Amino acid sequence: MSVTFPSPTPAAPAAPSAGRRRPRVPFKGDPLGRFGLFLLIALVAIGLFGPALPIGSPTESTGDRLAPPGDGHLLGTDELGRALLPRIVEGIRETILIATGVVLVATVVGVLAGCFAALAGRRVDELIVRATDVIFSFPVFLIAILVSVVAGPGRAAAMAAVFAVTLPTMVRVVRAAALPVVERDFVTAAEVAGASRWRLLRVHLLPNVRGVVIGQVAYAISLGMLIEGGMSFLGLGVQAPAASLGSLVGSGRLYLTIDPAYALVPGVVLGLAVLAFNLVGDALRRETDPTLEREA
Amino acid sequence: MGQFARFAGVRLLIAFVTLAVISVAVFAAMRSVPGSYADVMLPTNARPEARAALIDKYGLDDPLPAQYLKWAGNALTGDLGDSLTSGDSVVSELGSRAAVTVELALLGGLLALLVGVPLGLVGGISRSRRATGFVRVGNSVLLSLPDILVGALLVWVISTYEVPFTVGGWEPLFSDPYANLQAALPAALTISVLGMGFVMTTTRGAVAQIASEPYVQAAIARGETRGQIVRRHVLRNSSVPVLTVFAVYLGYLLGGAVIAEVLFSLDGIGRYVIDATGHRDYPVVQGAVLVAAAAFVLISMLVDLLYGVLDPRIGARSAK
Repeated sequence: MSVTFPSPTPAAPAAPSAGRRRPRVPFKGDPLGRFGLFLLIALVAIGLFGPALPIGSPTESTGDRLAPPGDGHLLGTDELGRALLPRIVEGIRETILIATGVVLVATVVGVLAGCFAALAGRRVDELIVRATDVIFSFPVFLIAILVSVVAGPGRAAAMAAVFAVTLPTMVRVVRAAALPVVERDFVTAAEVAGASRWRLLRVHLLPNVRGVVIGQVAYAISLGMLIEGGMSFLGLGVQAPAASLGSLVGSGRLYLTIDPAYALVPGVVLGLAVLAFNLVGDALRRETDPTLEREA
Repeated sequence: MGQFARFAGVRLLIAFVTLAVISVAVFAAMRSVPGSYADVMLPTNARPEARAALIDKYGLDDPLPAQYLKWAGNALTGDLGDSLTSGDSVVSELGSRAAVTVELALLGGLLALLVGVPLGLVGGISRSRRATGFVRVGNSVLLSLPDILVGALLVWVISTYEVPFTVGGWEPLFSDPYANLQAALPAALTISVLGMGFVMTTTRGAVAQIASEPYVQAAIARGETRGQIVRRHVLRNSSVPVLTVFAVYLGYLLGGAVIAEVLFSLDGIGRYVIDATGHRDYPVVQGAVLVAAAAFVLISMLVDLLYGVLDPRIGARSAK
């Protein structure tokens, strides 16, 4: 997985007057964005390296069932006696991986479709926009239910739902960013000079939509994690013995009165992860969208 | 008004085509489950006569398009088959549970508007650094609160402390409104948090943009008060983007209600479908998905028509 942050080579600015002044420190002068970035890096690090930490196995029983936090198990144990801390660490990994993986695929498809819609003329444009409308307007839960009936509940159902939610927005955002670029003179010039559509996309459109896309990726991942959480909570997504943050809340909700930490801690961690990606997305948008800078 | 009628006609056609595509997708999904449909529907020790009866009833030996037409035809006349687990008619089961889901979705949507619009309005209008910072934090938090966390927290609080709300214990709205709200409000709050964030973001963006429009500058120059400007110019002009987000969100809520129904043990459509999915009760899943999709297509169509009313330019543009 690769979550990319402000790259050292700045994206070509959309506004012709803006200079190449990308701050070297990410989100300088934006404490919220930096907090989000810090949180994001911390959670990704926990997800990546957590399994190597000496915190016990997420699938082996410790013998104590539904033990409260403290008492030898930092966050207590679940109904089968599995320690919650390693399960939550695994949940962080699973949740971030699913959302990030699916969103990256949706981004590639969305960027291609969005740029193509902007380049290919009105008919194709209309068709692509209508298609995204239909996908967008179809309730996610129905998609997840259909997939889990056909393929059995599991990661695939959750991933299909995340894909269906994030793709249409990505197409729209890219298309909206690409449309004004297509009308600019340098694109017309390139077209007249005989540049192929693929070259127009690669050389002229991509650098100009990159900033918008990166911000949208962060938003999409945060929404994807919420969707995955809901699906796995309902038992349509990640299945035991694997764990995602949503599936932990789902199994913990049965024991809310005995051991509230079981459901609430993974829920809070999920909220923090979503918040981290949201804040980073917000900060990235502020950096790439010059109209927003004035208001803050 | 001829223009509007044409606009409405186009929308109706789009809704019909969408629904047809969805019904084909649902049908195809259900017929592509592993094993033949008859095997899935029958217990493993079913007698051959039962099998023959089933094949005859659903026309399973017919070509697929014919089967689809039969199913769609039955659906149009209000027959979605019977549940495999209870034997009850799917339509009547759905009907008896629809009230819970619809009330949750509407109440959740209402809460999202009641909180999201004022907050977004404040965020879009205010210029002070502290206010915009506060609004930004609040907005990010609302967008980041998982509904499952909010719901679990509420269930825990309600079942641990003395509060005037209940988990479960649903009473129909018209027989006992107070008891109904005691059960419905926490569930609706659970699913409305994300919507509050969405509505707030959209309102804030739309208001901020409108506030810099020349007609608002002109109104300021004429000496209109802030309240007058908000009422006369900002609210109506920001209603279209807010409505767009709200419509998408309402559709999400029809499904999203399932999370609240599961957490608060409410007998709505969502929980019925989730249970049916677990039991592989195909007629129920198939019927409920179709009904939910139809409800959703209907909502999007109504909202599209509402655009035409709110902003006459939209109807005129699309009709061309």
